[in-house]
Amino acid sequence: MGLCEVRPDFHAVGPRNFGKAAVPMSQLFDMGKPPSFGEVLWRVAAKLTRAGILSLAERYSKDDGFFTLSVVPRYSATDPAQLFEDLGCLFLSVSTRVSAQQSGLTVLHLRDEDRQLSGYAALVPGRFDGVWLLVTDMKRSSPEYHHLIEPVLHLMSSRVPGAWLTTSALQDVLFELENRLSVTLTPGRVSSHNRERSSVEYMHQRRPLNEVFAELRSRELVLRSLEFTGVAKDGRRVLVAGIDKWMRLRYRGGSSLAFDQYLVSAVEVRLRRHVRALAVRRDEALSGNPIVFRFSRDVLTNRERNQELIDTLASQSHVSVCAFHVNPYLHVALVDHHDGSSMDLFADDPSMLAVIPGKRCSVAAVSRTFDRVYAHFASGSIADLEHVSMAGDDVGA
Amino acid sequence: MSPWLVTMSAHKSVTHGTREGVADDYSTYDQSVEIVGCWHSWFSDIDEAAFDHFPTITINGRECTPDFLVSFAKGYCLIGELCRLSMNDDGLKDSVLQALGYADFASQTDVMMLVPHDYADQAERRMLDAGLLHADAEDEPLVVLSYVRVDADRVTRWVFKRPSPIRAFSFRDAFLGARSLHEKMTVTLEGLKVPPKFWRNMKIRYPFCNDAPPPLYTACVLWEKVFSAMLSDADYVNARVKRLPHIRLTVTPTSVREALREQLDIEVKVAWLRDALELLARARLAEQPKKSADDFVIKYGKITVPGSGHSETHELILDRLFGATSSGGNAVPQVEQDQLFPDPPALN
Repeated sequence: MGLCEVRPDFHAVGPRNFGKAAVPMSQLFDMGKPPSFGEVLWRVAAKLTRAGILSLAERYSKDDGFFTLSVVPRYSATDPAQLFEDLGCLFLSVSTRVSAQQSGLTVLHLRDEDRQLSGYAALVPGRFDGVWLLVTDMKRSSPEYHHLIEPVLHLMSSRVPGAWLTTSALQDVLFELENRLSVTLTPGRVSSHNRERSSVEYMHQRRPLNEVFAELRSRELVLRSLEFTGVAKDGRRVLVAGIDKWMRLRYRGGSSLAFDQYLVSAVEVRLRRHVRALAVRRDEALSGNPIVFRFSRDVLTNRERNQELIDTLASQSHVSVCAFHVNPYLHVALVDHHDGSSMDLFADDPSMLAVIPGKRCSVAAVSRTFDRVYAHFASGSIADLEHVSMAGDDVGA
Repeated sequence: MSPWLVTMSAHKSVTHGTREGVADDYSTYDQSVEIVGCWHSWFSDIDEAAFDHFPTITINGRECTPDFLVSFAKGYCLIGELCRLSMNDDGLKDSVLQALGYADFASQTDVMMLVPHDYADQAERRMLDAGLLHADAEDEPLVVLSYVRVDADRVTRWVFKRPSPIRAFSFRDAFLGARSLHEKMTVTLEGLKVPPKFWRNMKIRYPFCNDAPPPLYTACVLWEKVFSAMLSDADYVNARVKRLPHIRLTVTPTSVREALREQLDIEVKVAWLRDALELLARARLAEQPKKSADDFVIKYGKITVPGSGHSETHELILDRLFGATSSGGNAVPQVEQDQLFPDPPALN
């Protein structure tokens, strides 16, 4: 992957002037206000590569203390740019430019005329087939991200799912990053929530990473997001970044190469694993290989707990849940009205929940279901494919 | 009509007209689905056996629909019938005669009469006392088995047994060796204990058994597994972009049957579906523009009943049929049919 050296302040070329004689900078921009990161992406779209985008971000981070590059991983068997454009066009203006340097890389210019919002994002092929990254300088708390990106990703999700990480998986990602970069990660803002109160808790006090995770564990908190600074032994600031439960990353500064190679790649691997674990067809599931969520301990132990799980699922505004049997084993059917996915949920062991997807069932819907269970009911993780024998060994006395 | 053709099945829908009655029918049918699933699972492991989950057979010129039929390569047949026996003499006699009548299906046919454990022993004794069965007769094809779900252990099980050892003769399936039900039920008396892992997939694959389901049960299966697949991706996108409170889906019993076959690979009777659609219309979750026509417009989405203490589809439909009562017992005003979503799904 070649690195496209992009210098926003010198070499940026306006979209309509691309290939023409150089135009004085003063005519292109108000010299007091250099082009935004997004504007540069758009202007140099034809020359962009993944590495080029990241080095551009590193450059911007040096000039602008508030600069943030968001990286949102998604899974799609085909190039998702066309789908993004088709769905986005239903309520936004969407223009696209493709890179001649890297196949599959598309820059999007998104506008919401009514709200007078405008922003840029790029869809970039990931390291593995099927993995894609949406990168943008829109801050995730901004109205731009909220109106230009989020609703389109949401509409796409049945065909282009994302994934989520348990708190212990997030811990693994961050400890691995510490080891591979030989740095100490110091958490900045840490956001978590409690399964019972659903309140968001922030930890502002600076403490080592392992202490933060120990506290999350002891208080049974679910980690939502964590910002951190990676500092080398010599005191050099190597990376300032963030990660959240939905595998969304923030790059704030430091080595963009380290960010890409050690953090982005870690979530790419986990996204692929997540999707593979959930992409089970109904026939496979019914042949003894359901999708299994394994709880950390026995939780479906009585009628009250089983009913609590049903209520946790049924209280979502986009889901209908029907209980066929509640106790001592649990059998419910669930339909997700976001995309019409249907599935059966079955628990005959207090420590696991099996999902048998219907013929119409998206990975995103199963992922959302498990996310709901994990975040609002009890801790656990998605198990590797489970084989439940249908042989008659223990039928009988 | 000869007496044995009177339907006396356990799960025949008997809508009592009260919320409790309808809810009981719903869970009784669900149990029947599990029980038939247990037997389907058992026989699917036996190579010589072909299990028919929805048999329609002709006996002496009449069409009958027992709960299941197992045909074996050697010509032996086993018919299963779930019965919740009437305790009055005529009702008992009718049920037994019906089951005995099934034995006329083919020369080597046994009939498994499945009776709830609570009164299986008493029922078998009364059959003997009434002369409907005989303790020493070798050629009587009817075998009474009791069924019960045992929930005491960590893993729940359905248990099938002979209610008593009075009759030494039973299934003529010695050719199955270790898998012979005669051996398990009558010789060793060990019975069959079936944990969920053996029937859960059958239950999901076959959410119906051969008797007419209660309309509420069918309506729930349609709401959870069938209607959603009758809509396209574009319908869902449109609903979200336009923030529709629900999606209007026009169906007929026949179109629903096609969709159900597509999604679940099973064939059900059009009449079952019509009953369920009419129930949804009564619950104001569907409209029937012309009462005489077969067109129904489903208002599809999450069902909500403000003030209801319930969250599950079957309870919410009951709330809409009978008027909701919150867990505190306060009556909740009936809900207008267009308020299916509490809040339109937010898009942006």
